[in-house]
Amino acid sequence: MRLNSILLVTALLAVIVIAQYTPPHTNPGPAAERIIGKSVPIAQAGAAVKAGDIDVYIFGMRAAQAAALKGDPSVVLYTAAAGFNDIVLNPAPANPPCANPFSSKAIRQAMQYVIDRDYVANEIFKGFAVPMYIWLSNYDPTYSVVADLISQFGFRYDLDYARSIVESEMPKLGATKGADGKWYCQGKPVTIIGLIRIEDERKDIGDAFASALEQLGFAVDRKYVTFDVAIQTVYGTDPAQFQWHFYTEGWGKSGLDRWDTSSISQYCASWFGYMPGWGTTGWYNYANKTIDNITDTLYKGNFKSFQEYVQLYRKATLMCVQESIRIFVVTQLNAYVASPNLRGVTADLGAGLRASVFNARNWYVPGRDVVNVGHLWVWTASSAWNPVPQGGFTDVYSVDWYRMMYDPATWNHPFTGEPMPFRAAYVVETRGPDGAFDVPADAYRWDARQKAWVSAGGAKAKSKAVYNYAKYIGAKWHHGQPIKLADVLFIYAFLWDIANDPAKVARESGVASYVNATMSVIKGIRIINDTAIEVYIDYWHFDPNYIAAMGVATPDMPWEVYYAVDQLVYVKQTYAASRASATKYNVPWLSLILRDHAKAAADVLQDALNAGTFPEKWFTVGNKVLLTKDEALARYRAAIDWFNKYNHLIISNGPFYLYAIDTTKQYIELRAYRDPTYPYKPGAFYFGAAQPVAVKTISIPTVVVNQPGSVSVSLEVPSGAGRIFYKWGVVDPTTGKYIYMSDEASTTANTITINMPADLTGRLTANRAYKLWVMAYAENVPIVAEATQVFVPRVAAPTTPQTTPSPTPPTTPSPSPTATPQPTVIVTTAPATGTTEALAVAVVGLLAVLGALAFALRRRGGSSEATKTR
Amino acid sequence: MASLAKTLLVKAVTLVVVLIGVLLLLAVLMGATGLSDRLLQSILNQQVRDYQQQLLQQKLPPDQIRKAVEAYNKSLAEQLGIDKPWFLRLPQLIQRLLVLDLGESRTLQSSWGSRRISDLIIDRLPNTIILTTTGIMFTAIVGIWMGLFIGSNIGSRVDRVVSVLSAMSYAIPLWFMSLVLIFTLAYAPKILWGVQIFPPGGMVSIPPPKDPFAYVVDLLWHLSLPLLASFIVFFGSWAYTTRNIVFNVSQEDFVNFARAKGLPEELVRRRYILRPSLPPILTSLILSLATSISGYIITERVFNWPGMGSLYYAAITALDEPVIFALTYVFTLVYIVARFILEVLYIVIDPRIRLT
Repeated sequence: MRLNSILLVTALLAVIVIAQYTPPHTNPGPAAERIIGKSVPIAQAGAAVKAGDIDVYIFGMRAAQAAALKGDPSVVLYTAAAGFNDIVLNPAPANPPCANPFSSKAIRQAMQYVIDRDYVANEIFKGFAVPMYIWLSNYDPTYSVVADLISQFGFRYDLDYARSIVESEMPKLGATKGADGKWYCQGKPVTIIGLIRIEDERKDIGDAFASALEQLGFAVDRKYVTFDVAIQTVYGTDPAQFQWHFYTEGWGKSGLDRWDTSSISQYCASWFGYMPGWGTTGWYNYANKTIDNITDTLYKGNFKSFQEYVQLYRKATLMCVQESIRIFVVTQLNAYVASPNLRGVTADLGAGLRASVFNARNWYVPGRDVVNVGHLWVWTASSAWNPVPQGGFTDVYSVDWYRMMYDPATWNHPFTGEPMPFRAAYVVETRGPDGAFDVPADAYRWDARQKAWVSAGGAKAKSKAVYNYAKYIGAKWHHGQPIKLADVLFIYAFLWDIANDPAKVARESGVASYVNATMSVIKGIRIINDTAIEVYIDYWHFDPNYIAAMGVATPDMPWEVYYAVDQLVYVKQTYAASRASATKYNVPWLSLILRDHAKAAADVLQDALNAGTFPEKWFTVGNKVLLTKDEALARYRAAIDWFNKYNHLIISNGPFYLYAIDTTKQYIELRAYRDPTYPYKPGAFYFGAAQPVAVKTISIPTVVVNQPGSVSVSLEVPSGAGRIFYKWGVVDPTTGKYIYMSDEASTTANTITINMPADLTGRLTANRAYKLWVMAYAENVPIVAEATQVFVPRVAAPTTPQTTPSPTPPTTPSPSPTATPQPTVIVTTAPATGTTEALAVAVVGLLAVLGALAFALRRRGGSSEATKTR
Repeated sequence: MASLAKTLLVKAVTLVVVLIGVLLLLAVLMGATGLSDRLLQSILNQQVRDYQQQLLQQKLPPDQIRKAVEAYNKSLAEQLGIDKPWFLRLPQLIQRLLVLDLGESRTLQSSWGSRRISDLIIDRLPNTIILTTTGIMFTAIVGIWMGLFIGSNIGSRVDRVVSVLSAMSYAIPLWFMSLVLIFTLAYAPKILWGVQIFPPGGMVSIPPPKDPFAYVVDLLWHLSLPLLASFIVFFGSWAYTTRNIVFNVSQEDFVNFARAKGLPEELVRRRYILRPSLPPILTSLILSLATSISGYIITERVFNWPGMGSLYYAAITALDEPVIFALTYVFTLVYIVARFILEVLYIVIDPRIRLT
């Protein structure tokens, strides 16, 4: 990356059409006419899809629930990485030291060999999980940065190896081994307290780990606990009190992140507050200064180049694994069940089918105009539909439905996690990590004290981005009013205001902190024309898309709705934006789908309409006035009419509008927004299901010591995959160490040719087996594929000149420690289960009842006669 | 009459003491055992960690995160009330409830956005009455009628069939029967033959019919499967219990004496068997109807029926203490009112009870 150069990011969408999509029509708006959403208990989801009651269920099913549907031809299962499990170890030093084996780094490292990850993935999770060795699995795009490191660790289930480490290290801690094979510390058995969660598969994981520890000679006190006890014990007590030695942690995953900087800090660095001790003053706190320094640099983006980022990330990863505070076990795959007739599905590798802006717009069932969508809930008490960041839309249900109704300006790619243009185009220019632009005098920022746009001239910013909102402006909001640049600028001003106005900060402090994170790096906005603005962002990243995502604002609701929210929450203070403030001030948590709340907002607009006023200063930027009074009053009228018609105030700009929602009956109906000004038609933003690169064969001709060799790796590359990146290495199987590791290279071909240099083959011993390791991933689907192949180098014949080596027969690659990724769509063909089983149970039950009745009626007379005599 | 008034007054005072006792017991159970604090603390920890994680994803400076998290932690602790000890927090709730001020929920809201607990109850109670109360009423009437019949025909075929069925139905949990019926009568016919005999859940079709008559018909159609499940599970116990009561009364000396006097069998049945049998039967019926307003937590979820059971469940999962206490209070209040009504009814209907 050259600094001080203009980085152009194409505004065109890099859509990877991996699966075919035939739009049902070419009208603007979504593929289907209606989305009908309803609540379906998770136990009934499969049957509901099979019965045609719903076409898709967008709540992820756990392994136990999805396993029953695996093999049913009448459903399709889409999987996505939903979270992961690890075992966190308590490293606090004990007195005597042998009382806590996990205070030894070597013993913690040995634990990497104690857990059988394949067993957990395949048996406990019934195939709905993949092994993981660090906080990333091969479903995470950043995994490609460290895949070779993970492979070099050579982690595997090897209890004997773990035992050898334990037996070497425990005496150093002062422990002795008794005749019974158990470890003793000052005459007492070394007892490890394991906190094992019981609500899910973690119970089995904890039991498996505990059993392995017992086999190593430790006594394990298994404490089976629920959420509340576990949280209190692990995070609520000083690790040095040894209320626990290991705990079966579980984590949910957020969206994909192409270039991770936060996860590595979260799971490795003490400053983040997620390592034992949790940053609590006065407690034992685990810390590693080097890791802390590196992750701090990564997290704050203080790296100067992509190369430095990679180098730091790899170094921190290596050290974190060496510390082994957490033993990462598996990444869970949640399953989303859908009808095979449902078209237009984009399976986001991070979010699956939920929380998606890609899906609903393209969903349709041939021959029908409606798509029936099931969810665990349509609405819960934690669902608040208001547009204040971190105030409303904080639960999965409100988010999932709302994302079907609006178009974001930018969004993360469903397969790479990299930010990309959605409805706004952008061009990013940067001066690099150490440079800065002077913000010009005709750029402005909102001053929360003066309540006015003021010149931002004189400020400095590392980058600037020009956002073009042309696809918004000129189109209309759902209530029929034209979208204007005024809507965009109002939202910037609103965000600056709630993050900086002291009264507003005090009223909603959680919201203010959250919003300020972004707004503090935006130094000024210059209006370029009616559709474009230039935003000065004091932020640098080697990937310009990240810079663009940092500075963008999405006009998801018209300014008058934000205005009404501002009045209710901050001026009148009759409602709260966040749950915390709602209870603190004993006012309702604003939700614009609830009749009373929406009416209060509509009343605000009615009052403004009656008074004939509008917040003019919010639209006056320098000498430009972005909105006239007539336009403002027209907006008020349209929003009030909308409320009168639909009884809510969710007005947006996406492919569907909210037609009805009934929170009690758990029902929602969205209808297609077919306005001719809407810029997208079915097929836009369709990605299908990610198909990763797969290694088909590795063909190794005879490798001759001291002579260059050539290896051919055949790949299965899906269309639209982009460039293929690969790396390879040679492992000495007897030591497990890598003799050689290549740099990352790329190709556009389906076959990789690996050239082994003579100095590498010169380090090999003739007639000894070695392993060739290959890793590959695609630019547009960075799921890593790995494979290994054994080869035996030969000694060169002294009298025979060098000849072309004869190829060895291609073999199927053997599985490597990191499992080869599975396709995200599972379509299996075993007989149907579930309903059939229920029917069988019912029939058996019925027969039992009939049998009992027959038995009861078998005797005639008897007691009846006796009664009659009375 | 003075004696009656005194008796009823004593009963009323006793029941009010029970009401207060239940609330105190709940407070002690939740407070003194540490359950309330522990659960609230866990919720606090989890929400603070979630908040922290969101800030981290924003890539905020660590100092800024720490300050924000501390502020959020403090604010949330105040919100949850764990900045005060349980013995200050919970008695305030009880005191308010005793003066019939149900107050406001901590998090739950009615479908129109109100946090008043009375609104939450108004929002859900009609749904529970439609489902649970109707179910119990219907099942009880049929069961009692059948019990009266077979109680007079002990040992008959009908008696033996009902006895077997009652034993079976008694053993089956309602939620399980509901699931079986949903899969076999709602989903299976649709999957196998494409016929929707019963809807699998919900109160009405989605979208609901706009015509009022069609709406009522649709509601009844959706009610049919829950009612059937309720009938299968509860019919047997009603019939069998009534049968045994009637049978036991028919063994009493005064019945034999009436027969010995040569009174007509119909008169013996009506006056000497049925009337003395009524108090225990009415006790069961009225108490069942009283407790029905609490709904069925799991069954309501299985049928996706938004009633009082779901509300209770939501309150428990959100640990919305004001709602938990208010609902417990309302349920107990209804129960003791029902008990008081029963005390009066005993005097009216049981010929063996006479006021002196």
